[in-house]
Amino acid sequence: MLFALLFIIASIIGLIKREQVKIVGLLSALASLALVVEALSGIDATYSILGLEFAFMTDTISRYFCILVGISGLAVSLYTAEYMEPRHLNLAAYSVFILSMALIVLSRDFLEFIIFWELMTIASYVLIVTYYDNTETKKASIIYLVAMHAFNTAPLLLAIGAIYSQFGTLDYSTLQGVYVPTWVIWAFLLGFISKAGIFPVHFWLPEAHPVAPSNVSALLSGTMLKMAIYGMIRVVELFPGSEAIARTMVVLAILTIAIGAIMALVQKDIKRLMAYSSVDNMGYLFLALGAYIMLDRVLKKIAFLALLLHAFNHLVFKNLLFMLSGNVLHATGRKDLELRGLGKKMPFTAVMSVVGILSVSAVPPLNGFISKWLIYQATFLSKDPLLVGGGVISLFASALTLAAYIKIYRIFTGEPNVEAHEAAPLMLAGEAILAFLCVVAGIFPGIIARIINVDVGNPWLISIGGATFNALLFAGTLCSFIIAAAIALPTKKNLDAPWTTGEPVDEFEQKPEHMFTPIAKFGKKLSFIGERIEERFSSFERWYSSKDLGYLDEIMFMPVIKLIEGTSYVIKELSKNLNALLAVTFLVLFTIVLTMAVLAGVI
Amino acid sequence: MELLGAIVAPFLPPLLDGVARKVKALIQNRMGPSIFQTWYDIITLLSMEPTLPTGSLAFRLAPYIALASALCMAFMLPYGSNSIINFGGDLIAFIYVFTLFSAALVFGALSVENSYSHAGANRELTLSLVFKPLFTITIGIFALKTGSLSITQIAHSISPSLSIVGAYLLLLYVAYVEAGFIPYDIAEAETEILEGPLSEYSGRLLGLLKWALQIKRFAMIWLFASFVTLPIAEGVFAFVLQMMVFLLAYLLMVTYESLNARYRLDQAMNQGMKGIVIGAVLTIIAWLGW
Amino acid sequence: MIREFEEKFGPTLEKKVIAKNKVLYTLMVRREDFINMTKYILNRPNTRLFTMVGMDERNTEESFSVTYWFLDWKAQEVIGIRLYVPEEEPSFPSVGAIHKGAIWFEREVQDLLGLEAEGLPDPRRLILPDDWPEGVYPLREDFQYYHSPMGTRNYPYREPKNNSTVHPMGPYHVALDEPAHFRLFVKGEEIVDVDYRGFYSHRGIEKLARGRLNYNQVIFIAERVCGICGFAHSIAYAQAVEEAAKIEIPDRARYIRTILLEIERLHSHLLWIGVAAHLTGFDTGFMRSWLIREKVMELAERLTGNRKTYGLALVGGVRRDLLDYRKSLILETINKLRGEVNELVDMLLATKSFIKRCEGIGVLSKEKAREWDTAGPLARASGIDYDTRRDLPYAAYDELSFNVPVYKEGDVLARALVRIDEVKESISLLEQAVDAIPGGPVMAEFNEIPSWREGISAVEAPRGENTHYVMTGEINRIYRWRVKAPTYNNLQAVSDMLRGYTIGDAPLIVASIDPCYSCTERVQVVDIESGKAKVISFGGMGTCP
Repeated sequence: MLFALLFIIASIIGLIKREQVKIVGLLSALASLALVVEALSGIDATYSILGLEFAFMTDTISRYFCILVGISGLAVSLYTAEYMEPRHLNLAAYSVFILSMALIVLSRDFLEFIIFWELMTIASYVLIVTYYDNTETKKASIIYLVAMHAFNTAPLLLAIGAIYSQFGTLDYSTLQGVYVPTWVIWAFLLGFISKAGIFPVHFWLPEAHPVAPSNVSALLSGTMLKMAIYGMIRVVELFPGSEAIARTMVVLAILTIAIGAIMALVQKDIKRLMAYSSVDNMGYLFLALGAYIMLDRVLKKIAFLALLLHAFNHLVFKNLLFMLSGNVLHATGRKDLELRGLGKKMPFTAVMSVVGILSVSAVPPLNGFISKWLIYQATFLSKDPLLVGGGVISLFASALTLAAYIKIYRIFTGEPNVEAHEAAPLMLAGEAILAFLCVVAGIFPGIIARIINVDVGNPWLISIGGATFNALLFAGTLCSFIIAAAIALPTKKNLDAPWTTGEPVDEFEQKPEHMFTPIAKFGKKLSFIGERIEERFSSFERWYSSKDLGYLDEIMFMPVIKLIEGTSYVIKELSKNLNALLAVTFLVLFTIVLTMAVLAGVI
Repeated sequence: MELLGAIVAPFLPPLLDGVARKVKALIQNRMGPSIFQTWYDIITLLSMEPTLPTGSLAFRLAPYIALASALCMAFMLPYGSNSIINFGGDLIAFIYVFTLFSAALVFGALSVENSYSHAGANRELTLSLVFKPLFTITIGIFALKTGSLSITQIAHSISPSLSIVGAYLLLLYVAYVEAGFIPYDIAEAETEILEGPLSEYSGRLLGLLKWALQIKRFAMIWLFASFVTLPIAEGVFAFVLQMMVFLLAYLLMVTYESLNARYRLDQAMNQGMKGIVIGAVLTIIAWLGW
Repeated sequence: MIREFEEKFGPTLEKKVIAKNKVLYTLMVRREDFINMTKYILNRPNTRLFTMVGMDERNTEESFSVTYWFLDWKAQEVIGIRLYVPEEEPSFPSVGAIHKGAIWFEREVQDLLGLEAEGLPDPRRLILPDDWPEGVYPLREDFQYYHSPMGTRNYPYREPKNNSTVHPMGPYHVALDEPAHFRLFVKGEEIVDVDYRGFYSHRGIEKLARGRLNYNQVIFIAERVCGICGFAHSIAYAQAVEEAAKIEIPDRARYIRTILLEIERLHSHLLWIGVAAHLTGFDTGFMRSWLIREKVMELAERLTGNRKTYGLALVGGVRRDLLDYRKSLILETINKLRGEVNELVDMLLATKSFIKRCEGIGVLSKEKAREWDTAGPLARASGIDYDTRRDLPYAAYDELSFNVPVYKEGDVLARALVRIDEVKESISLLEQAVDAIPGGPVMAEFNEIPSWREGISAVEAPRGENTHYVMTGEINRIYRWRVKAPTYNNLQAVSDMLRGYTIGDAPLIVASIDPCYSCTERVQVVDIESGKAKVISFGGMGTCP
């Protein structure tokens, strides 16, 4: 558990010396590397703290997710070393964040799970409010905190509490294969989909991710959302009877895919666009998970491989894209789509953006294609109309994603309209690692499959269920065509200006918000609908509180409502003073932990 | 047999385009150019140095990538019974290589500051947003019925039924649209937006792009011809039959093209939406077993 | 109209009668009345601004003059109001401020004569090239036609507003036959505003005609004002001179003129149908209609010796006679044409994709059409029932019967239908004319053409009314010749027609007014190369196909 030690040291340094970004970043990078190495060889350790037994062990799935967290942590920490602006506690929280995610994956019972889960939420909250003097951030952070606790932690606590009360233990190995009441699985589902940002509880994601600093957005979007998937996989593996939720999961996933992709198309802000795109990709993951539950035999294996592979791919390219947007923000101070001509001063960022954009649009031979291809195999061959519909919507969303990201490509073309400079080498190094992985995972996907012990035949190909995709051959063919054509018919550089049909024109381009007008109109309608729903809810709340309701109601509901109202008032007051807010939050956490400890009969 | 495809795919399409021009001329009561004219044009273009409106690498690289992806598309199709690049699930890869083609064209068009190119790129992407799902639904019907996503496998195991017939018709429609014949050649409209994404290309790069567009057209219609022929034939005979069905379909499409004006973008999208609704109905029919 | 006008404003005006229904009033005192008079005339129904002439009369009257001619087409009367503008104070109240159709006329007068219109909404340069220096006015008497002054290049285009971007349909565009610059302000594909910059083929014909050519030489220049409707221009000029000199042309000449005018209308409309089909991508329609047009061109060649520029008009009649055996040739061709045109029309109207491209596009409402004083098929498709052949009859039209097609929708399809109906009417007119053509001489006998007489005449060219104004001068030369082509008014309406439609529709909408830029841009520019490296010659010939 060397990595844990390194993370704790980094966090302590961050706590004491709040300015040492480089040291904390590099230490975290080292720690993540240690995590990857240790996970590959297997971890099995038990510690006793405060009389509680903490056991950490890797099995196939947790080893895989450890490696994911490690890779992500490595790349982002290198980036953070140059990028992050240290403010209040965020430096300490950074290492704690990654550490908590690793520990979630390694934990062996639900108690550890929920403790580190809450720790992860708190750490991410601290990181999100880095720029707390910004009004947007305040609003986003409140939404995040409340949504996380109301829809995420609360159902999880309920479910775990129920399991404990029924079986008296929270250990995974003991609970394997035990029958739990269906509502417990529903509660788990609700908890995890709200963490992952699935419709209808996705609304916090596009608010929280853009306001965080870019390295944090990368971690949030890339890695934290995968924890939800991990949790769901764990639940599905442990408890039979998950068929009940499979259909609903697939339906919600399909809706998420469609909504995420369409909303991404109409955004004007780079990070919001990428946040909606994350929503869309989480939809793919849950679609694959639902397919995994619903199908059997070969297709089940395909769905499983698709799920895990897409988790890896999304992690890699989403981290890459968010870090690149951080480059742009750092260099120009802006993150809207009106930028132009950055390709001249930021060539590396431009090239890696193209790699990222092609990966997220699942264009072969990059990595996004492989996982999408597997998802299509699983859904189209399933003979189940819901899944086939899911496959069709996925393809539609894939095309929409390409269209949305083309808008981001445009900030690199044309004549520059702002001052810019290339990012620092450490930042580029972190991104380069991920870009390299994008290409490698696209050409040699078998390597990833080996890690999860899925049999794909020859590791140079992917051969599963009678379907073989020889990515190497494919990429080789494509490249050889290009090289042959380029050698046979080369082009000399013979520069001139674009043709404006004879009269001089200054603003000779199409603005990004005017692209794809027919589809964009539909997307605007959707966001309009979302606003209307929000309005209805708030008007409902106003109506409700203005009524003088009956006696029964007063006894049963009013206290609870008053309590919630009071809490939100308190939080609003506190949010004006950040430190007090943080203090209160930690207090709450401590209370929760204390409660759990009492429940566990320790104290 | 497949190696014949390696010769047919790159070199036949411009010849076919020449034949198409001759047919159109006959419909219009005139002589028209010789059938090798498109080849002469492409060779002339390939021998000229291009003038570049921007130093961007994406602009220069796009035609090469477009040509490579068009050739890949063509190589994934069966000539005779087998195809050159063959693997299970390659129908999805086919769609995505097509996406790579569109993406290359669009990236190239957007890297130059010219509102004609931008308008063309916009139209190209908007059209693919509507017609790719239609293509996918068609594939979904085939997959539902035959249980496979490999082009050669589907082609060998199709058995007639109501939904399959409907799927064939939809596939013909999709092949027509994606081949870029006149009601739907909106993205490369000459008279309206000065050929859209192609407007800033010249010389060698333009020649490569035109060649790539011809090969893409060939690949789409050959896909349809394979699905029609392969269930009933094998080997060399299959190849000959494919060629004949292909030529028939091509000539019918050219004739239909000469009798039509070009659609506006929103009109084409309406047609696409109607197609999607029909496709959804056909999918339900397929699931019910017919 | 004339009577009511006189009753209201008579005392302040000096009257001069040009012809039976045409009266010229000169305003002697009280320029403030001028705007009231204009408003009075324009507010009546069925009136339009016929043309506007600026003249340099400093030799005879010691000031410049600006004459506005108005037409009431139901009463078939023409009124002109002349305002004298002194050299020391070269400005006059602007009619363009109250009536949009006058804007280009006043910009032209500003450019060429230096007379400023007070209150003109758009005072930018219209005609002169960007690098023409300020303060040099070509149409003034003291400017020699062979001068070529130098300046610096700069044109004040409008800026894009509301987050729109510029999409130029520029001098070089596939859809434009001749150079013109439409600056489309677009949001994505939707057009929100239009700025037009034209007059790239401005040639200086009016200045050439002044004092250098005699009456019959001018007629050949007039024919070359336009490539498609040249004959209409030459006839309009000839009629204006005949009116000024009070010459009566023989009947046979009138009928010959009518026959050739209708042949010209046929080939022009068939050309337009082909171009409209081509712009929507329907090449089969394009090829078919031009195949039919080929027959008309061959007929013209057999009749006059030329396919396009007939060269047959003279002041006082026509140059050559139509031999009798040619009559049967005309009838034969017309019969064949009738069948083929019907087939072509059926095919076009049956092609749903073509109809869908034309329907509901480029709508011009009746009020806007009146505001801009549009003419020809454009006006008739928007519900304005005006045809010069019927309302101001000339040549043999008052003895022939024909219908004038009028549609109300005002979109591209309506304009196409108007032109198609006119083709059918032309065929019927040709039959009637060939039947009724009388014998006799083809040229009138007359002596000298007196000087300082004015004549104004209009002809219905395929695109609308061609109005020519002539003031005869001494030594058998013209003093002032003013040409107004229909596209002059129609082009101004294009910006209203383009707003709200997509850039894919823009070429079709521009083509639907059947623009003839050569006709529009005929006036002055330098046409001799200077000794320097800059060549500013735009070719003396019309460049229509």
